[in-house]
Amino acid sequence: MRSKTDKSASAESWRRMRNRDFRKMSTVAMFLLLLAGIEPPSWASSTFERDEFQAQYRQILQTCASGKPEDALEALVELESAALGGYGADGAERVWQAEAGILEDILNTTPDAIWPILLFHEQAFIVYNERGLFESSAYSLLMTVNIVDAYVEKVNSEEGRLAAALLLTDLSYHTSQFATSMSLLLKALDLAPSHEAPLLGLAKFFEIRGKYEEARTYLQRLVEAHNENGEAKLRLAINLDRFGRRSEAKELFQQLLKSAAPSWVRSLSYQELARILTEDGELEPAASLLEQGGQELPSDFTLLVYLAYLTDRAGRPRESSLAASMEKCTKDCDASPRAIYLQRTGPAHVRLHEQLQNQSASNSELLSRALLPASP
Amino acid sequence: MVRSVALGLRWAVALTLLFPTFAFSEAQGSTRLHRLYVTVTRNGKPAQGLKREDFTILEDEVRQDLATFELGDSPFAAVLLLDASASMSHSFEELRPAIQSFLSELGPRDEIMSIVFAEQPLAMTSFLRQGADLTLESKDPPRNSNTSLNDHLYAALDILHDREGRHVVILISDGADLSSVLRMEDVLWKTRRSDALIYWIHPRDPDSKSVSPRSQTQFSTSWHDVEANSQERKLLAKAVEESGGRSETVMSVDGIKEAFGKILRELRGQYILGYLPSHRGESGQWKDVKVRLRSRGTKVRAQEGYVEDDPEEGEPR
Repeated sequence: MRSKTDKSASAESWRRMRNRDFRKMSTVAMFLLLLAGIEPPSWASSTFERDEFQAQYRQILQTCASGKPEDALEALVELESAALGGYGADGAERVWQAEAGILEDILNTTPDAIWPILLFHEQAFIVYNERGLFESSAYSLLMTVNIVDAYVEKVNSEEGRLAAALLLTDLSYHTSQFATSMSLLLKALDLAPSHEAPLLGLAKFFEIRGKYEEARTYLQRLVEAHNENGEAKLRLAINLDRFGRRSEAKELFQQLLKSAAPSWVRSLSYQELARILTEDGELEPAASLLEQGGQELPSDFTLLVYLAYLTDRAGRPRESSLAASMEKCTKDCDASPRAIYLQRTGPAHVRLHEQLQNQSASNSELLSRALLPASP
Repeated sequence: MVRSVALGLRWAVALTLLFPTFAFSEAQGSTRLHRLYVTVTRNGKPAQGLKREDFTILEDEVRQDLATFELGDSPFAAVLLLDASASMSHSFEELRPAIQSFLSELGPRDEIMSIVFAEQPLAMTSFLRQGADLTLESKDPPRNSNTSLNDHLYAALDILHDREGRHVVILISDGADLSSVLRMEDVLWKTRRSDALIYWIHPRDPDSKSVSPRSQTQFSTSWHDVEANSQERKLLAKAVEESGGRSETVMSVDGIKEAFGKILRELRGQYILGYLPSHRGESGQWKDVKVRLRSRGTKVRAQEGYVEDDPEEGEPR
């Protein structure tokens, strides 16, 4: 059993290790303290062969760089879990020091070679979460954020900050913990104040929690900076209408219907504009609008249901039954636009992740070279 | 003359019972026979042997004369709505035997359509009769799928409109709507213009810690905040109650099977009361209906009212 003094020294050492700016990472710090408080099991051996660990870690990174990321991931999970499991802050500290020893060299020589490693550790973080390995997941998140900070400091470029912001935003999407997710997004926004990824991430973060006023603020910033972003305009229009700014909302929906926005955004623009018209007592124009939407997007069940309702309200006969539309939908409906709207990781996140993967792929060669043993 | 008027009235009543959309001609002041499907229970079981004179109907607090009185073993058309979203504790495949058993217990002229849904319809049958094989193959719902309960409940009421006989919706869902385009108040608009009884079976997994009553009502989404979601659920409960149906929480697949059995027994033991409303209201006006019973120790459930139609428009869908 460790003494209290040992534990606090270990936690302090761990805190010193994360020597970057973590002012907005209060929840991460909380994770850290939790780690520090974990008692090692009585049977646990304190033996840790740093050289052996580093050799294995280097080998894993080489496997990853050589195009076998799945094999590398399983090996990393096994290696880290064994070294971290049950050892609390002591375990985290020794694993960090061993891994950081290698990563520091790479950062000093070829900073961009760090990208495949960052994505690799992000993937490990996701796997730890899925498998319920709390300690490993917390460690993985922290070490990834630490490396991001070190990278930004090292390259000190606009491009580097943007890439880092994308990764932090991506990490936030995989974090179920409320405050950690927000901290990551705010940190990303600090690095890239007008980038669409953290702005959209924050807007969705607040919207999902029913904090529509906060969501609207970020969406307003996003649309001002990226007027071409259809999803942002849609979300802004919906949130403007929530706060009584109906004419602005209508104008945005109309703009979207004239644009080449994705079909799910167009479908929701039809629906939400029709809702506004209905609430304003304009049943016929609302029904006509949905008819137009139904012709453009015939496989969209939500448009058909809403049209059926408005037709009923207007007392008009209907051309087709909902049973037929439902039958058709069971075979060939696309994903529900309203469900896409609810997703934390929607189409924008898919694009973001692709960007990061490209960033990583284009630097794999660099990583391979960086991992070669230095010439005598 | 008196005999021919009485004969005419009898025919009209018979026609109305056979064809729900049949309306009386001008001789009855454009008034439709309004039917009430009344469930009476004593100690939780259908109360039998009641007579016409045991019932009193009040419409907007005015006593109405009963024109028809029947025991309710008349055919019904039902839509079984099965929520297959991620929050549900039982899959369609787990429920299949219970539904198959329900089909085998239908009366010869009863019919039932099954619809499996999540965000969108996943699978559906035609209207099946007694003993039909449930050859429904449902595709898997999307991972972490949401529920569009309101949209599908509206569609079910719409589908029933053209079917003969009594109309019933049996909804198996946790009641949390996440992704409908229609709000529950839109569905309530429809239920008040429908004669369908809505039964809501709410399955809960006794082993699941996450599915607490609080987690099902106290949640926000990008579409609705906590308050709005809570209101949606209240309105669903209101729609069920107003329709004359009821809700029931069950803890297992066997519980669902038992709930089906109870619904069938209730439907077979219903009393069908018909009356010609003494006062025609304005189109769109809510008419409050109460059924009183002379028999002691019984509980009465029936549609709590309806919306007056516009005679020029015919019945809404």
